[in-house]
Amino acid sequence: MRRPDQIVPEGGSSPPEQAPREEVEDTPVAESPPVINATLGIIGEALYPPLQLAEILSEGAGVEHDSQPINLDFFMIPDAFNETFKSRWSAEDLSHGRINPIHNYGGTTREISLSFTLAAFTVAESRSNLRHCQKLARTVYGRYKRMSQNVLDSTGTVTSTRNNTVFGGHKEFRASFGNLLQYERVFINKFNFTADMDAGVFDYSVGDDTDVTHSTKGVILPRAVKIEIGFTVVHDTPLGFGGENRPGEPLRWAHNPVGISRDWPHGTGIGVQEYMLPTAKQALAKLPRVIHPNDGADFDSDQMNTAEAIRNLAEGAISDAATRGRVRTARQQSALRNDASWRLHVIIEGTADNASEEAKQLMRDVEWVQENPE
Amino acid sequence: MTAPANMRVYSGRHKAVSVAGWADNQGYVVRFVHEPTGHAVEFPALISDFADTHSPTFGQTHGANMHDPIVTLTKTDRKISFTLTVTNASLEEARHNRQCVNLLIQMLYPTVSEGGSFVGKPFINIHMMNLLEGMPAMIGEQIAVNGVTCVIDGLDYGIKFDDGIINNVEASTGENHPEKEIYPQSLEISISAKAIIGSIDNPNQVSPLHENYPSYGG
Repeated sequence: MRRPDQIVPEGGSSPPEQAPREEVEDTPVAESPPVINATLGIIGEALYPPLQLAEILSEGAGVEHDSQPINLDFFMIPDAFNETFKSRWSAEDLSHGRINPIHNYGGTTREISLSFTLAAFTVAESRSNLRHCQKLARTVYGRYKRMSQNVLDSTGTVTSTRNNTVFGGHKEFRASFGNLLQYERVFINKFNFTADMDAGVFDYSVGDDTDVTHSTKGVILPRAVKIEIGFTVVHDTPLGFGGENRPGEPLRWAHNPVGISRDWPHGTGIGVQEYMLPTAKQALAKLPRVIHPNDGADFDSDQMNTAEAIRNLAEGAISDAATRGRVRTARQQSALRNDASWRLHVIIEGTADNASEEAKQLMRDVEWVQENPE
Repeated sequence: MTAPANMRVYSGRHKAVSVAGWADNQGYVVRFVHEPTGHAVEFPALISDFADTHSPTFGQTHGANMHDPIVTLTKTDRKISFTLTVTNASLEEARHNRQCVNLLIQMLYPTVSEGGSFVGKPFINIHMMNLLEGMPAMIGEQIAVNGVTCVIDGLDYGIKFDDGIINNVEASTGENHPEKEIYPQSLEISISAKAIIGSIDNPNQVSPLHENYPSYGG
């Protein structure tokens, strides 16, 4: 965090060594040297949000990843932010003279390109920037996993363990950049590193490790590097208007979880518009579709057998639940009206010629409760 | 039931120092209406690189002893592209415009059934003064449109940070809040679209095209 007594210079001049705060307080204010401690973090924090990337690891037992997950959280000076939304339309030309073709819509993809500068005021900062770049460069390479496999002999005994390295596909990240990129699931499709030599480098000086010189011969530490990075967003929330989270509300944006009113794709820090507001009630999950024997499907197939088993289970569960519910109601009513005259009344109503199904069922339940006391 | 959003040009406290005031004064407004839902959004028409291209496609047949081909007109496409610049004169206007841009981006998405399938294709009706004007029509019972229905292939959203930014001061001096607000002084939205050409069914008129098509006026 920046302290109030720290001054940010306008130029890129290197700062002198700063005295610790305790020592400064011991000396008279008038005599203390100007405290200049400009860093990329201070400037970035004052003006821009940090870029945050957190690798999403694949899960699986016995899987060992090739390296530590890549997690980055740093300030930079953004140069450009470009976002491209592409809709997939296909057009069918049907006949001559028809004014418009038939347009079919297939979906909309979102890609982001962010270019920024990592400036360094000190040697240490330059090294830190290069470490960030190194990590960023690795984000566009694949993920490798090591999987252990037991080697068995002819008797089935484990003789040794063999380690196989397998390619695990691309890396995925959670990316945040202020309110422009709000914790989105992304993979990185581009990384471009340019050392800005016009900005200068920190020079080598024999045995002289200072803020502006280093003692490692043959190492270039640029004062500024320019980075361009591209993201493809893989949304894990529904997009569009309506949808399963908005039953009966086709004009509302598809996703805004209860408790969170967030603009999409970019945040604003003010209240959302009405069509973005969360729906008051969360929609209930849908029951699975039940395939009946007369649907014309292959009746002996595994799928049908499974569907039939699920249907039986579901019907049994519903029947059991209904019975339990009725019996509980009957018990409660019996407990409340635990007198012989009420039971007699129920039995008379249930055995009448014009008795309703409800009255008959209540009579059977009351009899069952009488025969099966708790 | 939610009413369709109708986001107009900024008219808040800083309108006098904003381009929104001039746009409102002159009627320089570009309006987008999402046809499946009726959601509408307007921007001051700071337009650059406007192009409206009408491209005929011909089939050609070359015969023996003929210099020139027999030409058959297959179709005529109309493509529209332009760049819209959105400028912010204050934090309040930046937030308003951010929500407007959000809605414009959301218009690229369809309506979705509760089962998850796409229902309403994201056709967008664009009206830009006399440069893009179509026949008056109704979306539903209440929303009148008079622009050109378009199929937007691509929308590019670009911020140049060198032009300056607007921050929420409270957030920027606080902790490294991941949702720190940051807004550009100006941003550019480039749109490329195919127009759905409005046709009429009038027994007194031979051509299905409207008599004023493409309604450039003048």
